[in-house]
Amino acid sequence: MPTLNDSARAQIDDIVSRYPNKKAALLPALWVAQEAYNGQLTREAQAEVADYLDLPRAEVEGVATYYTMYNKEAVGKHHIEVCHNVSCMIFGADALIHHIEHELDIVAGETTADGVFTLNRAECLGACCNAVAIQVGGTYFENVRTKEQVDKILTELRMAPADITPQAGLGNLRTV
Amino acid sequence: MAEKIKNDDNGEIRSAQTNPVEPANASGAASPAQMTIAENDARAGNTNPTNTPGGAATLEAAAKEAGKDAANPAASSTQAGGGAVNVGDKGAAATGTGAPRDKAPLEVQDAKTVASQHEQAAAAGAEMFNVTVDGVAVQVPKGTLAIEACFRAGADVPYFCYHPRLTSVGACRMCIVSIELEQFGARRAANLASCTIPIAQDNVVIQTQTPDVKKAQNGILEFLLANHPLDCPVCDRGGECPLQNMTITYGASTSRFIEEKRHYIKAMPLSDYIVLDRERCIQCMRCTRFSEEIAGDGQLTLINRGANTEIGTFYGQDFSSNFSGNVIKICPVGALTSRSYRFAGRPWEIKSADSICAACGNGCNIAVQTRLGELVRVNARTNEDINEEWTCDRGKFGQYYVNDAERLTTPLLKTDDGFEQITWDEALKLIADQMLATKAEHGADALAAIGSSTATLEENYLLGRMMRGQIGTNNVDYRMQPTPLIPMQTSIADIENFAVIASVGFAALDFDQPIVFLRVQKAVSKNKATWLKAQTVDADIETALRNAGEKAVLLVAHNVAQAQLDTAIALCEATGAKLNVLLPDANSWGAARAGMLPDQLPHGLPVGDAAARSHVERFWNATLPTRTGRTANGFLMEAASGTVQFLYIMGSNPAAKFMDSALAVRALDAVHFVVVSDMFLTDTAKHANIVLPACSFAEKDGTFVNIEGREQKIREALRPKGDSRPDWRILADLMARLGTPVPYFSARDVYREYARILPK
Repeated sequence: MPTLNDSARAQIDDIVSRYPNKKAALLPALWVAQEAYNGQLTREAQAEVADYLDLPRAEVEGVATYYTMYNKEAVGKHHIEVCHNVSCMIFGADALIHHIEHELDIVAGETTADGVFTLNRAECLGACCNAVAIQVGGTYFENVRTKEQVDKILTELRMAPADITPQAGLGNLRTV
Repeated sequence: MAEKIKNDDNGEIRSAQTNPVEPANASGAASPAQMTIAENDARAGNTNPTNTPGGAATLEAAAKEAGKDAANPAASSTQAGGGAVNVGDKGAAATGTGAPRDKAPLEVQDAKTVASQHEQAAAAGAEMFNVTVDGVAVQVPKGTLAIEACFRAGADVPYFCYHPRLTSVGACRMCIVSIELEQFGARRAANLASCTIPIAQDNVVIQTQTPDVKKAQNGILEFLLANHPLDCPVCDRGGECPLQNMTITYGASTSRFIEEKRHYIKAMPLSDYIVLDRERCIQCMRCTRFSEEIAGDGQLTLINRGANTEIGTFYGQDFSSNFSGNVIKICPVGALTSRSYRFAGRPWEIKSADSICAACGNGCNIAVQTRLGELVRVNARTNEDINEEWTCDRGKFGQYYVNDAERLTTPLLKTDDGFEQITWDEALKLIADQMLATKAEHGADALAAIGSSTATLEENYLLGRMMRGQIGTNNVDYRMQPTPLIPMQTSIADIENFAVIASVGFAALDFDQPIVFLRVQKAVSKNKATWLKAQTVDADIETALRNAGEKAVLLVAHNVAQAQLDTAIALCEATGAKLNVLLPDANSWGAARAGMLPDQLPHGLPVGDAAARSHVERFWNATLPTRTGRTANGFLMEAASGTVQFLYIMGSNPAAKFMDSALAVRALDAVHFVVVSDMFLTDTAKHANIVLPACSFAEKDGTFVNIEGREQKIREALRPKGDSRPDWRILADLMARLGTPVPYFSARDVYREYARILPK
């Protein structure tokens, strides 16, 4: 049973110290909680954050359900999010998504039976200049144009180096 | 604008007004007949021609009506104004755009609330700004929202999400008006949601009736209705629904939205009291703001986003707030409705009586609403000094015992075979004979009476007068629990103005003293006050009170230990903090004032004082006993030991509620003759020789005195159930049989006598 451990609480304390009030620290605190709860922002995780920040639990649920980037449902070990907004779409995001769906034998929004991969369509990831962008956990793959590149990413992920997808702390940029 | 409209040849403006949403109008181009009516209406003051119902008969009638009005536009403007604010008529006359539509009671109430808030602000010396709304000049305090300025001017602005006691969020967009103000060095007018624009400069000009504004409002309403199921015929809100009302006046007659509406489970219970219908919800956020800002628990929130936004509690948990019932009233649609009132009646079938809640001592102003002789619901009434416009759930949903089938409906006499029904005549004769015989045989002090902290002032007064004036004993009491009769040093409303608030001895303030809790919550959320909660007067509270001095208030529960009470009194005297000891029941103060204490006559006159006694004797035409009576504890002990032979218990349940209930049960068993008047066959009533069926608070008139000492009237909302009678009437009849007849025809008669006794 995951929970907010001491280090997660220390992280949240640090975040709270940077804001004028606890409510303002809710979004980053939810990231910490999502990581502490193994990538899923469960009901329990939301309740724990709410209690820790002295907020009404309902308010935390409202925030968590507003942002699609928080995973209310369980996701696989590697959460693949492929941008399908304008730039990426023009550069063939849909074909890439279909390819991944074929490779993993799932459709976007699902998790593989072995629980390794979850595939999602993402709204703009802010990498229009380097479309197509794919985010896996905290790692960005940019300029992904071909199925071969996708295969390479999938192979790499199948080898499952845990450190390739840190949840929090963005900025791990990779090109394939 | 005004000049243009006076010129009847100006077809452009008129046609724009009469048909503001051309594309949405189902009939497309209006027929000549309709156009005539529309034009006449525009002149006569009807701003709502597009929604005139179709059908030849209606059209004919409307044409006649319009023609009549057109002949005398000035008269029609005042007539159509109906109950609307007077200045509004002036405004309409000035612009010529027509008289305001009749406003719904909720809107009238909101406008009143705003006016009282403005009076307060003006009295506090707020900076005042001039605003012109539809040609009517008003002065409003700085920071007033534009929509509130419109209210003050009597203008007609439709709204859903705005509420005078909640922060403004501009969620529904319905209140769009044209606001002209100075921005970046130039004056310009724009159509803005008036609930989001605070008046922060002088000479703001607002137009609420221009074609552009009407078009925007109609458009917004069409949007709001896109997903609304329009199931008014089966909706409990129908008949008093702001959305329904506005749809009559604004919006298109048909919708352009032909796609499937969103669907949810229709009646989803949020708690034992509240049902949610998410299809009807327009996401105005009134309920979420109420639960966050007023109740302070934030149990309701908006979940999901965009088109899927819905109201809910945390993962469907029970909506357990003690103030949940208020969201029913502030919901501007039928999304949040009451489970107990569900399908129980329509607003126009309901009779309503202004009354006072009997559930606790706060004294909330309520409307007891009945249909076909049954209580169907309780709504709050506005009283700025007490409950503002809120109730707690105990007050709103806890009054259905009035309809209970278990209620006593005939007098009962205990026989060897259990209780047997008898007539009032028989019962009263038996009691009177018994009282006189006991007095003759054992002396007056062999009789005792227990009054009630939930019976009215009048009833306690009569019981005291009967026992003292006609029997001659001071053995009267009503206190089932410790009842420190220390007047509150602040009013309920004042509590919100203190910087430090400490509460001592409450299990949960929001359940024990709900309205006091709302004031405390308001102080904390609006005025950033500190609230300390404890079971005893601890070091933290002492420090906080010493630091805050006169800016602190200490709230103490009535049932704290005597030592705690003494500490609290001493602390408040030393620090200058105000002390409020909060009593529990609807009439805890009134019973004492009415003289239901062994050492006090009515109005607190001491029994031991000969002058006080002779003062009361003049009014009662009787000789009063000089010996101070025994307290409830005292005479129950005497009853248990056989000294007290007769016990009259009015609306109290000592067998269950007395602090030493075992003693009460022993006393009830031992005493020779017990009379109990109550609504139900309580534990106490089961011990009685005669049980009298009494009325509930909803079936009688009377007076309650709340924790502040404020006298308020309750009114008969229902006929008494079965053959039950109000206690004042039972006592008046009994007193007549005891000797000197005292004519009382109403509770008011009793109150007049009580009031006359007050020493000048």
